[in-house]
Amino acid sequence: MARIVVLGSGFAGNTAALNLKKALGRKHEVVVISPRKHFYYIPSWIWVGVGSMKPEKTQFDLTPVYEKFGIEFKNGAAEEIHPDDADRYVSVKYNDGKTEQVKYDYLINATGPKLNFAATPGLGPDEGYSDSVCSLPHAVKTKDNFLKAVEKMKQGKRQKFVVGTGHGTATCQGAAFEYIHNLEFEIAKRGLRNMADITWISNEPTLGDFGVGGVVVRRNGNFISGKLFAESTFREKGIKWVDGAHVRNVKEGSLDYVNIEGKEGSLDFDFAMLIPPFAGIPISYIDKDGNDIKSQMCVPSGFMKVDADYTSGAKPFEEWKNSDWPKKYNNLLYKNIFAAGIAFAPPHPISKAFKAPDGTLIAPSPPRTGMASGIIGHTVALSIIDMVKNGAEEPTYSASMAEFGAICITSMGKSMTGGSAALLTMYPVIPNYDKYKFGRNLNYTFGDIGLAGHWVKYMLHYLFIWKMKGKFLWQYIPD
Amino acid sequence: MENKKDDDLMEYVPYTTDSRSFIAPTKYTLFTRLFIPWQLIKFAHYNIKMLRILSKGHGRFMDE
Repeated sequence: MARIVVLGSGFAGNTAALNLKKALGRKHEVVVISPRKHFYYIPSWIWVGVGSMKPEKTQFDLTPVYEKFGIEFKNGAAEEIHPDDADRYVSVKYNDGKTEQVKYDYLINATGPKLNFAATPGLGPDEGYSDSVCSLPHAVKTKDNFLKAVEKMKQGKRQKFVVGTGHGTATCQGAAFEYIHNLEFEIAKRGLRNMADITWISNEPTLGDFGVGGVVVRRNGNFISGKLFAESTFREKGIKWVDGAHVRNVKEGSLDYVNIEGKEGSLDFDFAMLIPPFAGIPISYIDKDGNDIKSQMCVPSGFMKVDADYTSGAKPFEEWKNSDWPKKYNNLLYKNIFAAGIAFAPPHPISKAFKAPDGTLIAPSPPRTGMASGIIGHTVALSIIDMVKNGAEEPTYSASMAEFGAICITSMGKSMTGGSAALLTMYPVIPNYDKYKFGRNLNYTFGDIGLAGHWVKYMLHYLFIWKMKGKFLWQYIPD
Repeated sequence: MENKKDDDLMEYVPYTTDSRSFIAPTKYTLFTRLFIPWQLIKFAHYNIKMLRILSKGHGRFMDE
């Protein structure tokens, strides 16, 4: 009997756990360790943050799901991993302070990110002056602050809104892009648009980069870049923008930034929603002699090393290759340990990394949320199933971000008749300029804006929650 | 319901940095984005587009 332990219960962890248990049945044990007993549908938090969706609709309790599947659930936080053969276990700490050693044969690290607000002084809702939609409590607090600003506008007080990324190496520009459009939509819906100054600030080298090096699509007989696509939406909504910017600090009512050209500036705000950079969840890795081997297991930001070429990160953008990206997501020191979703360390950004003249790094980190997390979690599960059931010595399934595509639906207003969303498909996620003139296959790379995009986004909200609950025919809903 | 913006970014100003890459949706484009019969067709089209991406197997391969 094999025991597979999954750390984390988000898109990657939950997808892996459900697929593992379905394939391995009662003969083998699947254990999920997570400090949160709910699954969170994170893509809809942008709606929670403007008050257009109730928080309860974006979460559900995982306990009955795991009971139904026969998955053991431990509601605690993994603190240490002891990976040596004679002594393989995860040390878990529960809320009541008790600890437990959970043994494993295979381990999937799908712990997601730590929100690294400390990277920018004054960033974040807890010890800073900006809001965030990166956790459910943050999204609820953001909604409260947004509605307070709306009330002030109703009383005739003009308000300044700043939305974007709060650091030069932040990721999830897409979520911030969704948030700024939903914020503008909700303000306009209330007839208060003339009372709001809305500004976008982002670490993307150009608008529409989204941390994936931008996209080119075929449209109306032309090849057009995502920059024009994003710029068009900002012009339409009267949103000003600052791109290629690293936020140096956030103070009460203002922030300071430097951009790629070295231009220093500041923005005043009454309300700011800024996405922080991510780091790996702090977990210690201890070898059989009691030595901390985290530096061998993880990159400095705390994400776990897998089968990627980490030497490529020191090379210039022009020398980055698709083969740099991981395929099987197993750690090379311990082949029974995998990392899925945000927990794996990418070899380098997807977008070209820039430095301001003073050396400040302005390089969007690669997004690997949602669809990518689900695909990777499922692929890792398939490899482990093959190793457990068929005795495969190495992981047998691969899914490189350089070989699979992604579908991104960017909400621009939540309404079934007056809302809209930008639908963007890309294949592959990592551009391949050797193979494709514009980096991607344009037969599969597509972008459009409209009401139908909102219907798709709304449909996927319920479809994925259905899948993550493991309900009837869940396994046929794609990752 | 007045819905005016303080700065009209839709305005084209010749010979500025901004004018070099000016792009903005036309009224017709804005109309079609919310015109429900057209959007129903688009909805079907989007689903086909997504299925085409998914049909590529998520890039998941098994070793020979």
